[in-house]
Amino acid sequence: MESTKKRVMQSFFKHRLGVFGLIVLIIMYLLVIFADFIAPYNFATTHTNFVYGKPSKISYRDRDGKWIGPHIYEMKKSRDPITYQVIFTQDTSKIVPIKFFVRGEEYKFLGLFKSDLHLFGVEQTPDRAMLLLFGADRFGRDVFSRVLVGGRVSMTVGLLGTFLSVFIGAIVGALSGFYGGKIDILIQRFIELLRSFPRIPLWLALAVIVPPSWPSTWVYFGIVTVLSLIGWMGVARVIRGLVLSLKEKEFVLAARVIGVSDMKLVTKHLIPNTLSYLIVVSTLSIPGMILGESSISFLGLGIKEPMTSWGLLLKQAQSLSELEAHPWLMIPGIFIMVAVLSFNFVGDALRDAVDPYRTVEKL
Amino acid sequence: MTDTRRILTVENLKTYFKTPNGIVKAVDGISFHLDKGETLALVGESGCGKSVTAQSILGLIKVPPAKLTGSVVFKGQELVGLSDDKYRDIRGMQISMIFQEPMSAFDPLYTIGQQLMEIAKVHMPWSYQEAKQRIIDSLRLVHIPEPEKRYSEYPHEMSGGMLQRIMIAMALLPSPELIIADEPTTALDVTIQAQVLNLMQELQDSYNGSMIFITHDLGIVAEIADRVHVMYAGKIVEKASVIDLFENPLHPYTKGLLTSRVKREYKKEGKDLPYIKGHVPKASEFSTGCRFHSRCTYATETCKTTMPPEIETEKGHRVACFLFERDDLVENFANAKP
Amino acid sequence: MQVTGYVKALEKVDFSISERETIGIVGESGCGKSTLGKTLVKIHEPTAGSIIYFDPNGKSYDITNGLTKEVRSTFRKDVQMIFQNPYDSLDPRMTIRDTILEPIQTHKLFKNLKDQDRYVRELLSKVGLDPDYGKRYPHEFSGGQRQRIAIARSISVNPRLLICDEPTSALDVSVQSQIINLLKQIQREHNMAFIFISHNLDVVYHMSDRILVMYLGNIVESAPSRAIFDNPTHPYTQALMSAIPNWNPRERKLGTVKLEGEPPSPINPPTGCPFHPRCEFRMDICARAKPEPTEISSGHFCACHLRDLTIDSSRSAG
Repeated sequence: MESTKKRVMQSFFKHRLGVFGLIVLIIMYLLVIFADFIAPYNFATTHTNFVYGKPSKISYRDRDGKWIGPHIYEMKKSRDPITYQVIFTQDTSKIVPIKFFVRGEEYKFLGLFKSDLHLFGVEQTPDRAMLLLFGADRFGRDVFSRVLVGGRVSMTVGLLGTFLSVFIGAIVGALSGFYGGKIDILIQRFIELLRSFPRIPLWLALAVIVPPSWPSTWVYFGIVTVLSLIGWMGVARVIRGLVLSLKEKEFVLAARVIGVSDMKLVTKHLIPNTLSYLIVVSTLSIPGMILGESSISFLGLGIKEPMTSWGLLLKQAQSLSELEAHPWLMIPGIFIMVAVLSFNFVGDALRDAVDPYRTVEKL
Repeated sequence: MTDTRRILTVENLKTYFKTPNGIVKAVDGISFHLDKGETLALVGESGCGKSVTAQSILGLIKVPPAKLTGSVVFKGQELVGLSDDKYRDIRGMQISMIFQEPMSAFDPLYTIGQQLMEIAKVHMPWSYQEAKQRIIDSLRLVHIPEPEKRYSEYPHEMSGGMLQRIMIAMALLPSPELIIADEPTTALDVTIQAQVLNLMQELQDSYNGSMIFITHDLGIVAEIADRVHVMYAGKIVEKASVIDLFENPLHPYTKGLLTSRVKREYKKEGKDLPYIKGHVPKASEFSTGCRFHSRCTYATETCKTTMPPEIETEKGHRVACFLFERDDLVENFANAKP
Repeated sequence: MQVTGYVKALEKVDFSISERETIGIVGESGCGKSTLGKTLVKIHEPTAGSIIYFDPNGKSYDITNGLTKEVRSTFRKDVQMIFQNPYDSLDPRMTIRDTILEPIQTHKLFKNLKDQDRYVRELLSKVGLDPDYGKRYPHEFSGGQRQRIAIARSISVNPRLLICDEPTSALDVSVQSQIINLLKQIQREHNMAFIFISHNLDVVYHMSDRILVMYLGNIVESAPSRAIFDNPTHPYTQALMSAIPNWNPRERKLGTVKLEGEPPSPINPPTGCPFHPRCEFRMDICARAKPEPTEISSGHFCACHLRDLTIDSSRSAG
């Protein structure tokens, strides 16, 4: 299949949006994998002095206009004399420079070993000055750090969920298409029944089954299972269609004449020949999974604190007044959008390359 | 050439495609002409460039990415480099095409009548009623039973043979001066093929139009053509009248094609069938020199490096082969008939 | 889905085949010749009738309703098939070697891997290909080469019956003869029986001992191949013969084909004789009763009322 591979690659790399999406996704995954190291703060640590802290303003010159590199200022806490509200003002006399490879809050890198080295940050203690790229939430936690760590859940839920749903979908679809008859009718009606349920209530109903007492990693896998229990149906339909047309191909007939067993027929001839479509279907169904996880978490039935995900982060921005006062809490939504769009771009490019006649419908 | 009977002159036509595996010379410098009322058969196997030739004449090749050079003169007008708009006036109006797959040439969503009406509306100054009458007449002309009923039926309600005849009706509707038929009977059964060929012959005689008939089947050529051009790997290797081609084939490839017919004698004599060794090259892997040399039993060193010129052996019979460059060789070859 | 009717691809087909014999089946598209081939290799199930298979020891099995465990393995080894479209009959994701190995491994012909490898190379050179081609994938080969690979695959288990379903119709004319020669050579060397299905009368004649002419799922005429050509009896056979171009521009024969109309749809076949709507000799009885095959000379059967009449009249005269 050398030349086919070459053709697919060439055609993919001609698709500009697809390549762009791929680059964005690679960057996002790198950010997410090295989240603890890249984030300037531990995502779970609260900072009472910076509750709802605004995004820091980064300056480059001192008061005389001399270039001294990127820096922020220390915060001075005071009370408004009339309303007694706590207000922060910048103490421009106290410069806090932003540096690479600073020691800061401790974290466990990928959950394996402890470290306190961060890619960038400030050396000042977080009760006096914090580098808040995306601001802080109501517990004074750095939103930027939380977005990076939360991306871990959001970006992997799609991958794992898709893997599981493609696995189930491919097997069920192949059986349905290969055996036809009663089995096929049964499976198809079952899928139609499940699909006729509105999606979100179904997610919620399934998510409620996940007991609240479970530890967060279990909850995570619970969510993955819930998502793929719904996601496999689209895959099964596509694979069934492909298998239906493949099984009439002469090479499959030839294998039957030879006496190859049904099991081998499916695993050696039918599924390998749908592989390229499976990849396309997978890529195109990841965005749905990401959105699904976000929805469930947004509605409070998914990932729970202290673990976090983009959907859960957005939950804090549920009310309009909250949004008006602290608009930076919406930033995780932008990440969801960018990730979903990028997966769609890559999926479209892959589909155009693998399947120029669009036999696979978008899920 | 101001011969009024000359309807089409193709001069050194080249159609090249750029692909990931290099430039494909699908048609590589072919020249021929066609007179009024004539049927010219372009014969060749898959990948010889016969269909690309037809599409190049009709302006159906997208340029770029393809590269098209040479000249195609239709009734004194140069077609190569013509704008799409102008081509549209000629195509369908003065030149029509009949395709191989009747099933895919029709839009399944519209009735036969609607599709024929579309052509009539674009090309002809007829009123609706007049157009409808003419369409029904033309359906009757191609022996469609109950044409009034068929007019409002859909393509899927008809058999392949019937659709092919409707396609012929469609091609003839604007009374074109040139019809290009690309393997029009390949998808049909032999008994239907005979009917369709018969019909085409009959209609051509009454119209006195010209036809380029593209096929791989020499049996059909013998039935329908006046002159024959044999194509191999993007080149015309032999040009002859149909009688000359069958009775005195010159090019080794033509001879090979003629002997590849399964004759009844072979079985009686218990012999293997004669064949041409090797296989038809893909358009991306044409060899240097004479493109047939690797399959030719007479190939010499010259054949491997140099493209043979076109040699006229007698009036109207031309062959692109070194064997006919020197007269003494011609005799040797003639004596060594298989 | 709405059912508009069930296609009866095969109406009534009786024939038997014995070792080293070639039966040719000829007919136009939709006549059921491919269905017949697929029914015989048991990838389609017949609705009625019977297929009897004799294993190498001469024991007979009725395999009409599927293969029992007992006979499955021998039958799958004994009966092989070559398909029409070489671009479709090889799995694009398997190397040539793996393709040819599939039947060998399925039937566990070799214990020793080295012998197995040697055998694959032998097979490749037997069908006229370079033994080193085994590592390559199908897309690297031309139609003729692919058909050779398909032949190598089907003969690898040494079948006793090979069903060839239009093996040359998708190939270029200059390559067709190579494949026909190869098939003949293989038949000579392996003493196989062939069922050769084609729409091309000339090719079928060259390959076969007996020819069956099919129309709309019925055998309308069957005879030794010479008899079919020298004495075509059924009006359909005659029409079929007359429609073959004769490659002679001085004797054009297109105008002489008398066959009108087109084959009716198999979903809704005509009553009586399936050919009667197109037949130039049709009589009243043809629409009412289906003609039974009559033996008109030794081994030459024809299903036509015209024949019954001539025989009846000659009988009554004599």
